[in-house]
Amino acid sequence: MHDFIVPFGPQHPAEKEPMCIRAGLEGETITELDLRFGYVHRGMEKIFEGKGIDQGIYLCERICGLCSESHSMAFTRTIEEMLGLDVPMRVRHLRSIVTELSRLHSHMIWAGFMAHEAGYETLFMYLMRERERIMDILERTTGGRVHYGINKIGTLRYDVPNAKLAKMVEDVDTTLKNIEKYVDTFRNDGTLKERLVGTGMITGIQAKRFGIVGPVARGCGINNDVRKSDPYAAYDLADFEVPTYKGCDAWSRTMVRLEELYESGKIIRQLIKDIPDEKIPAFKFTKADDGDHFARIEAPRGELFYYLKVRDSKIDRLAIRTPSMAVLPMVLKPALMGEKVSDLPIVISSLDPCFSCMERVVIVEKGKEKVYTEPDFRRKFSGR
Amino acid sequence: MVDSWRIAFVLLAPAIALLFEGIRRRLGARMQSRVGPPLLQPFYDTIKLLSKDDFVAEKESNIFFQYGPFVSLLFVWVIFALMPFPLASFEHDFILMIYLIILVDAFYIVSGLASNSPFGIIGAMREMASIIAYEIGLAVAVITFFFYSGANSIGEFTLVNGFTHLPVSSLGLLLLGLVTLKKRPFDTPEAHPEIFDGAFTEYSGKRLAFLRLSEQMKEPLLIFLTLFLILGTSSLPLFFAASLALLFVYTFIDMVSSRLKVEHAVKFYMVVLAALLLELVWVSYQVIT
Repeated sequence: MHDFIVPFGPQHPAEKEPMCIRAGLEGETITELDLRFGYVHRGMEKIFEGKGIDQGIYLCERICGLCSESHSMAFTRTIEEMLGLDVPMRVRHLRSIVTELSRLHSHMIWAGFMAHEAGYETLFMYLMRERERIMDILERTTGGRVHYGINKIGTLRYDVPNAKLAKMVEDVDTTLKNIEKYVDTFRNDGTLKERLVGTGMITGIQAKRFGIVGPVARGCGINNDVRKSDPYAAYDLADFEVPTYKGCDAWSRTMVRLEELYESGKIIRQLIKDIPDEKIPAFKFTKADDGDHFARIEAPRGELFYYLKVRDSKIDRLAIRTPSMAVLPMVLKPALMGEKVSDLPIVISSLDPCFSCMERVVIVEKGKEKVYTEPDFRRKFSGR
Repeated sequence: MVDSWRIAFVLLAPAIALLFEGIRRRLGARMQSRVGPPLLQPFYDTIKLLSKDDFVAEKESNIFFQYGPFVSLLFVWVIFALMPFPLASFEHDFILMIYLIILVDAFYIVSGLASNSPFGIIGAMREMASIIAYEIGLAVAVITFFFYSGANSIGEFTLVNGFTHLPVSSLGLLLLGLVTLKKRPFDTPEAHPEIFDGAFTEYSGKRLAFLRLSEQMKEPLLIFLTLFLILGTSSLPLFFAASLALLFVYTFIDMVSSRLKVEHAVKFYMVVLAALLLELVWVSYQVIT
């Protein structure tokens, strides 16, 4: 039973991208949820079909704005493992460094939004100010603020000079030193903790059962990090920890992400120190035999899975499972049911959804497009 | 005969409120390391809203939606005529003032409920809960001050530096300002990421201008009321300097805290109310014996 239904979205200030949650309220308590996705569906997987392998790398960066580097990393890893290419160490180091930088800025913008949803706008403004330095580093090294376009199959588009790398360490150190205050605020501020602790609970059992990934899982005490369990690029050479918390609430997920910032800093420092001086190979157009392969990497939001099938040196099929897809449709309902409506933005934000990544599922039946809600989809396709 | 500057003060009350709002926004922006809007931006906003076309949707064409904002503005304007520089004063007019302050919020709630939007309804419901938190406390604090000073009306109230005599009520009033003015951590009725603008969500044009102006006029009103009681108006430069300082303090608290839930506000202000009541009992005991 509900008193009235509140539509959260498709356009809502708590959501940075369009999604719709119709919440049935009893007083201020959420008793019914109707999730509607599919507002930013662009048919990306269809566009990939028939494209050349080297073209795919540019297209897959466009899937998401915040983790564009992760998508191109996953794509290159898939195709390089498929071709058995031996990628030079310098290329691997540079790829890891750029990925960690993009993780830094993604986590910082997320922490800012988290503070904003909890009503702490000053913290949001300060975090965005500090994030700008990371964006500047990325622009200096790769030429782009959002889409870096630095990866090529087996190589990089261009080398990054060592002088730039030295400056990069300096800037990353400054940023991480500056945000210490803000991390302390998240850790200790009374009003913020009052809102975050115990909000949006996802139990460890639920997390295992739904197979959720990334910082959300690590906030439930599940230590899963592809960088450790299935190392790629130069991560096997770096010494870093995977922070886990056992609180299962929004605060634990916050702390996991904030501590990951420092681990990323550690990785960047180590890799820049050990980077070998060698010439990166020139780019050659890729020819591949027919076949398929899958690979995964750790995106800022969790495990990113790519399945690639090649025919006639063209992409025949590319299936992507993004971390948001693994987390959001599963846990939104258990995390939100019974919470107060004022916690809704915090819970959604603590899961760090990325709808542009996620929305590639639309079922077309007899020429009619139909977007399934989560319950319908489950009933129809998973037999539950 | 009333001084002409007092009449001017009352007539210019909306301008003072908009100036306060401009200062507040500018201060807040600087605290967030932003540049912020021009000082007169609230004036431009209000003038623009007033010049908009009048439009009411069919489902909202009830009398409360249409005239609620206007009545709310009227009430808050009338309070400026009573306090802090009264045009007219009569016996026990401070009771009327308390009622008018409650009525302003009541019409805010009515405007929200009449707006036929779930966000307006949630905003109104939260405002109702926070009214429980602060209105009784506000009434108790004001009555304590008048009781202590022995004044029968606002015009007779001449207590100077009241905070040295009644520290608990002074502190209570300063704290009550936070929730009455919907400052963080107690700004739940207008929690932007949750319910857009709460009761304001469905309003547009002139009605939005009136509703916003009545909320903006509450800011100097509450600040003047607090300072009128705890500081007195004997020295006007000190009074206005203190009001700007209080605006700074409120903005600072607004900027360095996150939003609590409405039940936290109620719990917190129940403690404040208990302290205020204790002081009222103490003052009554002193006055009687």
